[in-house]
Amino acid sequence: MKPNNIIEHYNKLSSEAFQDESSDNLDIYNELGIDKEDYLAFKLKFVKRLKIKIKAKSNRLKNQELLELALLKLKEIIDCRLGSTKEKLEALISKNYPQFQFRNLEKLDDDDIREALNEIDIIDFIEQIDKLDNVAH
Amino acid sequence: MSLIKSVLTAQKLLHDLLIENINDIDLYEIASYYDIIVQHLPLKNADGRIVFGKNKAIISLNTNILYEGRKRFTLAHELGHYFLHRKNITIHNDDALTLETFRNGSQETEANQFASELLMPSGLFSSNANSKPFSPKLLGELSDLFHTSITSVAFKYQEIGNYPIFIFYSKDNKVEYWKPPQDIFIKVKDIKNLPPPSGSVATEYFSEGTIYTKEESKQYINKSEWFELNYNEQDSLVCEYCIVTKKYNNALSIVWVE
Repeated sequence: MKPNNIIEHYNKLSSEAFQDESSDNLDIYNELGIDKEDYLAFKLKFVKRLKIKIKAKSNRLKNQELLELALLKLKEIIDCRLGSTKEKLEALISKNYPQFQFRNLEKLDDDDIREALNEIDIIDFIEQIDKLDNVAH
Repeated sequence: MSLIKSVLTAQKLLHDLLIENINDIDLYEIASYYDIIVQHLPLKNADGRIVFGKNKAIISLNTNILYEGRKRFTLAHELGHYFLHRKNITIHNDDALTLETFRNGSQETEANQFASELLMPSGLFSSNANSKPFSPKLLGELSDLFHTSITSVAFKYQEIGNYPIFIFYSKDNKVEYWKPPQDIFIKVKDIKNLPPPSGSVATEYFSEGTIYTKEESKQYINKSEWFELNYNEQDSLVCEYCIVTKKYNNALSIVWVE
């Protein structure tokens, strides 16, 4: 099951749990000395936190895979590159991000710039792969 | 953008993610939830960096950061850039100086303010900080509780703690800036870009390399070292606790009247 489907399935089960008629039986709450509203609010919050955790985990696993794939592709491209890294970086950025501002970039040496360039390329790749993946499914 | 907006943005984030306890502040989880990739790699001239894509972002953290608290603060700072500045910056590179800047007006200060509120939510911080008298030990306890550096705890304490403290930041034997507490007026000597006062604990570090142990971290010095005395005012003793980061050759002096 794909991560998104797992979340949808989980959401459905969660709402079913809240629609359980027996939850309306006030006697049970009174007998146990539990405030029904407080209890349901706590349960709802718990389920919401769990959903946040599931989404975070599924994003993390997906991005990890995408990152590994992008790094492999990037390595192939770097091996073929010629010329100044900085020029490549500026050309790439001004093409992709017209409103770009350099911040603290003067502190970076050539290796750092290469790292930054890699990350821009990586994120570009990741987004492209992710887009293709979403279209395919 | 105002600093209040940075604080409110962090508070909204905590609210949206239903985070109410210190142990639920999982920065890696927050990053993943918003599709931000966090990677660890050796960076030569930065503690952290964020690169924005169209929908995602990559935060790189320097594997050479020695302290867990500093690593957490760096990640929270980069998240601050994501939530506050992603519309107008593509790459943001942060080093020791930007991470320790709490002067008004810059995006670095805004990101630091965001990080401070994310790691040490004001409500939780004040309930833990204001139940005890101020001391270096209290700052240490808060640092352990919130899993962040004593430096960031000191700045937070100055903002919302119930005891007034002055903070002086010196680097490479020069006083770069200071922050007085709100509502207390004691005139600080004009020592910007000058060496710290000769009788201060900061000078002991810069001139002799002295770093006091935890037990001796509170030192008594003359008030006239850091402050102007009023006309006819007798000199008196104040306390100085100096937090030293040898790696960056800086000293954060916390000065208070006991």
